Amino acid sequence: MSLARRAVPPIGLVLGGVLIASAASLGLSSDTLGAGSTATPRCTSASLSILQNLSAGTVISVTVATLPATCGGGTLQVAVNNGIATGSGSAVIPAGGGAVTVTLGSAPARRVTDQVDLVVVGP
Amino acid sequence: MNSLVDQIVSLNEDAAPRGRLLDRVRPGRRLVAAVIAGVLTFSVVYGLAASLNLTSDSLGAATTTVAACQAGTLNATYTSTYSAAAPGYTVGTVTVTGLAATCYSKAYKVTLSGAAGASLGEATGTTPSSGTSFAAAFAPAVSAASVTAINVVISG
Repeated sequence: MSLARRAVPPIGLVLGGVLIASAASLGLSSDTLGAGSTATPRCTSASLSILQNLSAGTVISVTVATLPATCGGGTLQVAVNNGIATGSGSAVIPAGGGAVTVTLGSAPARRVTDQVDLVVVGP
Repeated sequence: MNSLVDQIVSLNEDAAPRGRLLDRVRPGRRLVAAVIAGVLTFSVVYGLAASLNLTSDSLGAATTTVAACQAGTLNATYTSTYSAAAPGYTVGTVTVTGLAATCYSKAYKVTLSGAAGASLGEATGTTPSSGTSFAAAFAPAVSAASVTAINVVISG
């Protein structure tokens, strides 16, 4: 048997194998997909001291003390709501923390019950 | 009785010398035997082939990589606003900075979550085609005190 005739069967097997593999494969591409999650930390979980500063029966500012250094550089926002009107303002906390007085944009009247809310955004 | 003995003797005398069995079979009978053997053989083979009924659903497989549009870190900052209706501070906008050009014009989803990972609010949109940041607006705004985590996904 010539060399050419002996080579034909193996070549046929190889080609057949390639064809079968090609038939079983699928073209596939993908869009990008990225996801991430992270906790939203608090600069402190300790209690803060809050003092409302009055003037003529209205709350003109609020002093927040005992702020730790970890809150330094953050922005302190304070709002006073007496149930009828709301006054709010913000101030940057010093790098070392401490006490910050926030002046309210409008001074709500001092009432028996009012609510003071604050939030620190950043650092 | 003698006739039977004579026949046996006659057969022995007519027999071919000792050799292969096929050599002692006449050519015509050899052909018939070959045909019968072939029929029997292929009948068995045919029987085996006919005993398998096989069909197949299609099956295709492929693998590809799912990659993120950027490797750089994104940073989220919060814009809080006081809400008398809440009452309290709420987060209405989350600004995501650190966006790379490879993430331009892709769908995003930002979710603020609270205790036990529960979703507090979700903002969706498309990243800009320029710049390094985008703002995700939450409507309604989410209670700032309840936010414990932020989740961002960008796809496309």
